[in-house]
Amino acid sequence: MLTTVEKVIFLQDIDFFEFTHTEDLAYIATITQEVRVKAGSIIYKEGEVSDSMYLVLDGRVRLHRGGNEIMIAQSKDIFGTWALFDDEPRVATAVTIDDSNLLRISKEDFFDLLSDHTNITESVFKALVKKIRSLIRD
Amino acid sequence: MGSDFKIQIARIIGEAREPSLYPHLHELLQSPDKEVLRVAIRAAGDTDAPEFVPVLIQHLNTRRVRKYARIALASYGEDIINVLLARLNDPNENRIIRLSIPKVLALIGAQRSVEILMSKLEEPDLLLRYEVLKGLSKLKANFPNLKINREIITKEILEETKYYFKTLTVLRSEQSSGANDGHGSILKARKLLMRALEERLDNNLERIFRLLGLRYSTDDMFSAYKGIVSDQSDLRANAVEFLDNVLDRYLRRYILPIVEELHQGETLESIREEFGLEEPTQKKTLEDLLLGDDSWLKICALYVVSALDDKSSAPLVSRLTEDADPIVRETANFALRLLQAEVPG
Repeated sequence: MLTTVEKVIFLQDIDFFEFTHTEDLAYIATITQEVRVKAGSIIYKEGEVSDSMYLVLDGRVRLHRGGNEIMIAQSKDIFGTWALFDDEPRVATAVTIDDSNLLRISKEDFFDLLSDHTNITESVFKALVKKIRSLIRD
Repeated sequence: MGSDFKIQIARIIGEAREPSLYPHLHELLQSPDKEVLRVAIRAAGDTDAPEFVPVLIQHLNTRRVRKYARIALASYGEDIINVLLARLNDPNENRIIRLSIPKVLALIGAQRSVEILMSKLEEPDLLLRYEVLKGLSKLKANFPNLKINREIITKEILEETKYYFKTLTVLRSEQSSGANDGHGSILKARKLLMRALEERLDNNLERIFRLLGLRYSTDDMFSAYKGIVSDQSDLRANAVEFLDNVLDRYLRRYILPIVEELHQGETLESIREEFGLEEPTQKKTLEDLLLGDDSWLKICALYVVSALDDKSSAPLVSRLTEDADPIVRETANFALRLLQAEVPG
């Protein structure tokens, strides 16, 4: 089990949290759940209700839709992010390639946290806007 | 009973102000339905009845209706200021509630609100201190007839300035002690501590400018702050020139070195001498952080101590396993386990 400060060390390298202050990352760390998953396990399926996002501590996770691979998530990658921002079903299936350690953040806990820490909201939106701008440019 | 009916009942009780109906309003104030709860909170505020104050304060900790609880409490006006002060002063009070109280005081808009917030300008909880400053800014903007004691503000600006240079001294000490050397966990731990110190400086600078905004024009100081933290050199230069022209000589002497320090890094020595701040060794820096009030810096320092395997710090780390902050306790226990571990072989 990672301590809060070890989770912060990990979270500070994640793009999604690049503008989030380290103390705020500690608050985020407290709502993460460590999940150990065997190789070949399904984390979620396309069409399922989405309620959490995941961060890869170690291992690899394949994301595919209708058999077409979308990406392989590796250490410090994040997936299932849209679950935090809309109520639409999962658009892909996530399956572990290796035995993997993940951090799970539930939508409900995340929004509870944001409501108490507006500066985290600001920093997350800043990162999202940066991402959207880069997608538009590309 | 459907939600619409409950909403109507809540509205009627609020308008009727009939004490015999208040037990029903108490029930509605526990409703899991957000809309019912929202209307019940508003109705409680409309009654002006003191019996609803504790439950309204409790709802400052209910995310979905916090905003309505603040408005309802503010509608009691000056009558509840002493109750709010008692909750704000209670260190055992729920932190979210304490953090919400400056916003309620700002909505009340009384001279007593100003006085209470002014008395909390040196609050050790930096987030609460920030909320206090935001509350004062709102009072100044929305109630221009209220008096804000300029002497106290000047004193606080100097306190924040001193704190800024103290933190900067610690950061420079960390940087000069080879923060980019080492490997693995030492490097990670030092980088975390340095990032945390830099963030503290950012927050500190914002607080200084919020205080300046209470003493001078809020809009002008906000523009100057945006210029100072900008990446564009012309905006920064304009902001420095503006501050040079506007600030009183006494404040200029302390503020300008900060805004220049941000981009030049040469003036620390002279200011440090002026404030009587010594350049600490890395060991002393870590000790000071472990003994300080700032829980997050304490946590980062504990992590550095454990990465450095500095066994001489074990007694101090051991004391922190009893700290009030659960993350400090967790990190202290983690550090202590590493410091007490026998080296194999």
